[in-house]
Amino acid sequence: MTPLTIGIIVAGVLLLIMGAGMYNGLIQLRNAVKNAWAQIDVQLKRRHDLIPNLVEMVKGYAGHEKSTLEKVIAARSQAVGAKTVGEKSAAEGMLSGALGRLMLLVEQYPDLKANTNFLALQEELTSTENKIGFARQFYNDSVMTYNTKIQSVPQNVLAGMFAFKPEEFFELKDEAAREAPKVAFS
Amino acid sequence: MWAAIQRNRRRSLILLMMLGLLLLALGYLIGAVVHFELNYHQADFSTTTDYYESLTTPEPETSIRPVLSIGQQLTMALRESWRSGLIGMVIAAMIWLIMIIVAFISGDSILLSTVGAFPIAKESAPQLYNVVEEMSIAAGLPTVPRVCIINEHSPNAFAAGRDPRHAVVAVTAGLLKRLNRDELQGVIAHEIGHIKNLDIRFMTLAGVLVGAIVLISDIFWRSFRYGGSQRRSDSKGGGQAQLILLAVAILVAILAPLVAQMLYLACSRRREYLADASAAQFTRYPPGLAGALKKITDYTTRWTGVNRAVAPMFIINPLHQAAAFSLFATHPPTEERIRILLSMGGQAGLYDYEQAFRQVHGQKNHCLDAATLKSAEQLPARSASTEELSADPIVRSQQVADLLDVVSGGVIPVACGCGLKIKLPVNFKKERFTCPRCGLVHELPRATINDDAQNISSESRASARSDTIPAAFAVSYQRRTAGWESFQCPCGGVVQLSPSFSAPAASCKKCGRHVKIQPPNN
Repeated sequence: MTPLTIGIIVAGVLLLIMGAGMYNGLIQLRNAVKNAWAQIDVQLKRRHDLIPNLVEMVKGYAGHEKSTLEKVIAARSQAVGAKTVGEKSAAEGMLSGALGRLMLLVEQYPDLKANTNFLALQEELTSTENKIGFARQFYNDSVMTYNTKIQSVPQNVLAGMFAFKPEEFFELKDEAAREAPKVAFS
Repeated sequence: MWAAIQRNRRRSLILLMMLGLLLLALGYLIGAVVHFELNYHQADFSTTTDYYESLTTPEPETSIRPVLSIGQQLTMALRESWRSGLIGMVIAAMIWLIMIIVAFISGDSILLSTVGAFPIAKESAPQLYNVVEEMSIAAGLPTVPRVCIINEHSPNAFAAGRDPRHAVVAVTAGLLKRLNRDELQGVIAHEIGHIKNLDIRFMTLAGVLVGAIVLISDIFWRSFRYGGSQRRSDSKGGGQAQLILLAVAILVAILAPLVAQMLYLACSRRREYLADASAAQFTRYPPGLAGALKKITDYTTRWTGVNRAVAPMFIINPLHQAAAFSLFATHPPTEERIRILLSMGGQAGLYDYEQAFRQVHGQKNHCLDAATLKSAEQLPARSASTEELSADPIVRSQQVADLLDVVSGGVIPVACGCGLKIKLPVNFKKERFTCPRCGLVHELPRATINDDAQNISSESRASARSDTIPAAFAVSYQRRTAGWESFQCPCGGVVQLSPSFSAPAASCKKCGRHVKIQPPNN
């Protein structure tokens, strides 16, 4: 073997090792994005589970505020039915808006606000809203890292070869929800 | 974030290796010195003819025995004592290994028990628990850390555990009393930042290594002073080489602990900054942590009962508050940390923290390295949450006190209608008691046995006690209020419920059976 062929083989092996490392890095990032999305899903599910309790409790004190309650229920069922990231973004944004309005309404019922069970539920709901926010934040950070990686040289070559596609960000579409992502209780 | 962790890991490895080499060198030198202490009389190399002959051609006509240079003597001394040196190294490594094993297996439980931390369940402190969950999500931790509460009035917090899967976050009762939700979030985010950046594992490993170096130097010092007195009683002095070796060993034994501690502390301070930056990134709200730090420093009564060894683990060192920069401080000056957080100007990313750091420290200084910065993005901060302190301070501190009573397993708080709070011992046997102020008789309610469970004969019921798996809630309890409540299980044990208890069943601590809890009718 001439020194040239040895050189070519060594270079080829090195390139292969580097490529494998890069590929593994991309896989790691993509899985991080998937995990982050799973976390959002868990929290959204939790929110959907809490809403019927909330609606029942508010009904007991403010049953005549039908339209607001119905809007919450409608938004919830729409959110439960949503499938893709984009659909979910829109539906959850609507739900956040409807919930925010319900919570403003609760302000007018001191009896309800003094109820211990309601306070416990309120803490759960606040926390779930926060968790959705933080899960979204972590998801979007992961997506950003991943998207940047697959678009930059030299990873973009590998990304093209193995079909790594950019992921969608998760944004809450409702403008009201964007302004006040937290439930304002007290 | 990911890049920062990777770099952290590499830098930590280098530092650990440096400390390890220092430890081994110390072991070797001490071994060599001990060798000469033991074989004192063969240690005079100044006129060794064998060595001379082996090195140079013999000069036949010389009657004077040649004197070797100090360098040659030293080589000779080291050559003779290499076995003892190796033994010294092995002993040093073994001491280190044993300390590491102890630290890894029981480090966090030792830590938790020295500060008196109790693990709590979600029902007892839902807000704290929720905040920990929120921050674990924000940091993307694989599991939620265990949550502990410390019976201590001064506000403080720490994290422990060898990796993100086995982590613990502990806060003092004083912290819970004083901070609002945003501030609590900041503190927890700082601790979770430590967990996420693998600081705890590193600080444990490095701390143990520093401890081993200090320990070995100390042993050497003591034995040297003992050996030294022996030498003086001897009539002849040793060889020069031996003296030099001894001098070097003494120098290393003095310097090694100092250098090791300084390296360790410099690392500790850097990691505090990084944890602050991570907290800003996780919460997207730097003023939260800044407010918490302010409140913690404003509390002037020191927590004196804390062990010196665990002090660096806290968010603010409970023993020495860093007022100004010092080489021997575990934490950077708190005021400076607050200033950096507050000058982030509506941004919350790692990059923004670096900018604020430079602004406070002058342009040349930096806390994150260039490669971390390249991957760090600028992130906008969010606005403050609308929630203020959920209750007035008195009610809040009462809640925390009740929580402590329950988690420490000491007493059961029962509120009487006259406003008096009566604390019953956990093993209270009687079914009723009288309020000492108003004379009202309180009954300690008993859990009722369900209809279908009543068919079970008393004999089988007695045997059910030892059963760990109960016959599907054979026992139930109807709550009267939604506040603190306690009742007696049929076995005589007392079960307590907190205001936020919402699970379908509670388990009796005495017999272990599950009691179905029915919510109050209102």
